Amino acid sequence: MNAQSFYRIGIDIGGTNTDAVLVDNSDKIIASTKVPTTPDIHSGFKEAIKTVIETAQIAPRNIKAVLMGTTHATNAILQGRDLYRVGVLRLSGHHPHLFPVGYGWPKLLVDNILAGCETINGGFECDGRVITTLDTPEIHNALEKLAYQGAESIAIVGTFSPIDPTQEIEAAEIAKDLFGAHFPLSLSHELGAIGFIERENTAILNGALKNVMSKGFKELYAVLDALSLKCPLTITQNNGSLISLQRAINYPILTISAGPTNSFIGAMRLSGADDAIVVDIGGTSTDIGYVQNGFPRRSLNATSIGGIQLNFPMPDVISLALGGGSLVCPLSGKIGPQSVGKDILSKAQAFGGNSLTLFDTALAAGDFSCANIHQLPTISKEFACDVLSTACKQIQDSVALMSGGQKNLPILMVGGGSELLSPDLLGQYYQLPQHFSVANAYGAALAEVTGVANKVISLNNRETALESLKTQAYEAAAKEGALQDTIRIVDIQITPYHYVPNHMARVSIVTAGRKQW
Amino acid sequence: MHQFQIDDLNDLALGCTLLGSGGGGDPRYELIMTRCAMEQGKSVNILSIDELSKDDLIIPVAYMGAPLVSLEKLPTGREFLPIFDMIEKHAGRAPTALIAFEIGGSNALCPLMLAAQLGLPVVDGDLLGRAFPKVYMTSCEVNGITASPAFLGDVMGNSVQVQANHSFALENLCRAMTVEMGSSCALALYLMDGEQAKQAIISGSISQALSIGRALAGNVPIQEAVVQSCGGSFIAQGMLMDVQQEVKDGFLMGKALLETQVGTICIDYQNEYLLAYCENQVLAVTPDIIALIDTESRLPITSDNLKYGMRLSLFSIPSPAIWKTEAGLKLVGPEAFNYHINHENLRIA
Repeated sequence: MNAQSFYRIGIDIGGTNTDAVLVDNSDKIIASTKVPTTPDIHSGFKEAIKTVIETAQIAPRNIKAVLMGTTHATNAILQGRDLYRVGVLRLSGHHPHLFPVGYGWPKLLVDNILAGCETINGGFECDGRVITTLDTPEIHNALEKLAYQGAESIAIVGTFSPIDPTQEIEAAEIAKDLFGAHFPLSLSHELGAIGFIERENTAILNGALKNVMSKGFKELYAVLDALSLKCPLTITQNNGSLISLQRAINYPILTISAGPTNSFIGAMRLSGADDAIVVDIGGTSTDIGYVQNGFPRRSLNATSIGGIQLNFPMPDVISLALGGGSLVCPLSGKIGPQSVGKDILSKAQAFGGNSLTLFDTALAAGDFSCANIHQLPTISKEFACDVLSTACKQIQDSVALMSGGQKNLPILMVGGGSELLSPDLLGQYYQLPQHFSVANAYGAALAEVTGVANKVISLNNRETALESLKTQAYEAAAKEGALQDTIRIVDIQITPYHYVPNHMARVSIVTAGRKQW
Repeated sequence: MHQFQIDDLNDLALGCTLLGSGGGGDPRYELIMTRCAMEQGKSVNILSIDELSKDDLIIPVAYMGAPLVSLEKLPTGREFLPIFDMIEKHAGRAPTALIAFEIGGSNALCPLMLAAQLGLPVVDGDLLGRAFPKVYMTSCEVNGITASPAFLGDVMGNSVQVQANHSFALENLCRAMTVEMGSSCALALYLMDGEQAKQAIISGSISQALSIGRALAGNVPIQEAVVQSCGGSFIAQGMLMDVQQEVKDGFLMGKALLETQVGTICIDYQNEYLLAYCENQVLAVTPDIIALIDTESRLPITSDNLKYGMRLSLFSIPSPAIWKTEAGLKLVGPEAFNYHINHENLRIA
């Protein structure tokens, strides 16, 4: 073995399984594994890492980075569990009484997350003048009231704070004096752009998620120590690039859609195609995305999680309630939306349970086989084939929608549930790449670093202003460790502000590049 | 008179967005405010134009300024309270009904949001039948109703009464005041009695917007839905390849390029989509309403929400008849926006 060889480990901590891959400098997968996700998170994490290291027979000192993606935060929101109760402090001196906090949220999340809301003096006009100045005693009273109402975490949201963050920062200092330096705080200007409702939602969810990330994820550093791994531990964020684990613990909302991003990028790199549709079939759901020029296409519409509107960029994903563990009605053949999820090994008919799942249906249809089954499912082969046909049609329809009429795109199937539907059933462009079941962990291992330049500028000298911001974005990526000749612009968003003096616009430029670990 | 149902708000907002011809702002926030106002407040009644009389004092209402600002400094309706005090002092009597200034875009919901708080009815109609950039581009202007006095108010309780000798001057004075009030404020102008309203407004706007919205939200194929609900015609569909903005004459002018099977279609806008053309061939032009509808979601897209890569269907919808008269065309026809069209060929100044 080449003494100069360096390796990285990519990990995906999902709701059901923790997947790991060990890759070399040429991004080749040397070892991979899939273990059940443990309730404490770090035990499964440790087992997965240990397994790939031992299988590959690599010395820990040759592992240069552990890169992780997780759907943990997403699942916490979808299931409404492990969330802090959040008190909301609105710095809006004009008192917007027609917009209650959490309006339109699903009841489960309102009940689990919202402790209370206090609207007090503060806020800015669009040109930077204050609406009203901050009133320190008023801030004190409001914070105490929120604490009394059971707030375990505070979200501070000021009108036009993306233009001037000083009021949010001042209110945060008062909160730290009152509650201690480590009390969970979310400042909206760090999390979102113009759009009060969506930015408030983002800040509240971020505050709520600080609980789930602090449980189990802080221990991961100790796991690396115990395994003699002296390398950085980074985590993928929404756009597929890396942040430190500490940053992910402080800003958990940034990790929300890293899961699909990783599996889309992983699938693309496993197949070698720069443009492809990806179909990720999991235990409960199927996510379909579109990789263009090597990056998952951004959603062009409002993004949301669990029914709550957010406003930061997320990959364009169509999610179907269709997975290996999805329940199939033995009479009508209807698939899902309920699923046995991670209890498939006890609840599915094939393993001695009572539930007819898509997994059982695939077995009965005959194209798929599996060791360790306890009994054959009770449905007929014809019925099973019909159900699989329906599943295929749902996927084909969504793929057509996602590809928008583009023909001849490779359609890559990844995820544990991909084995259940044969590419022959689906169509000529469907492929099952090698290592398809750990595409998400592979995507994590491939994560690039990004640089972002995000500023409200005047469009009076459009080209000059844009050039300057582009340079800043390149430098930001280089600062994160990106190799100069791999840095490229992956996204430019220009949002002009109509009718505001000086033709202001928000410009966001994102660059990405490969890091030499 | 009939009661407006809260459940119809979503469809109304959809129809209003289409009638906005790309302008008027995305109504998604006003929709929430109006829904809240109606849930918390009084029921909202819609009056037909036939029910009006000389004893009525009709107030056209709108928010003026940057749509961006209302995304942050959320509107409340309280901006209108100082205005209504001033109006009563000026007219010597209380307002009896509200009407939307423009049915295109988020401003269409403004009278409903106010009505739920003030307990006044809303006339089924508006002054534009769509959205346009300037306050004097109204059916009232064509029909000889004066815009002045106009009233502006902000949420901190400030109010201004403006008397201008010409509508063009009023537009400039109001804009200046709006900037001072934080680039968004409440506006009431073109006050009318019931008889004047019968002559000067565009009737049935709320009903029409609602039926368009229901068609968009329904299951009928989109082209059929637009044809049936508002007599629109489908022009082409394709992908948005480029969106350019530039400053000209104090306005933010935009150009969107749609790559379609018939070629590259350019859509010119000043907030509102005003002209669609392909290689100097005019496909649609003001005063007709131009709609860009997302092919997948069936949502009409406003000009401030256009993004690279969107898949859009382009439609042209006939404007209210008043805009096709000589006086109407002078205000809002192609020449008014510096588009010179000769036998369907195009020259842009």
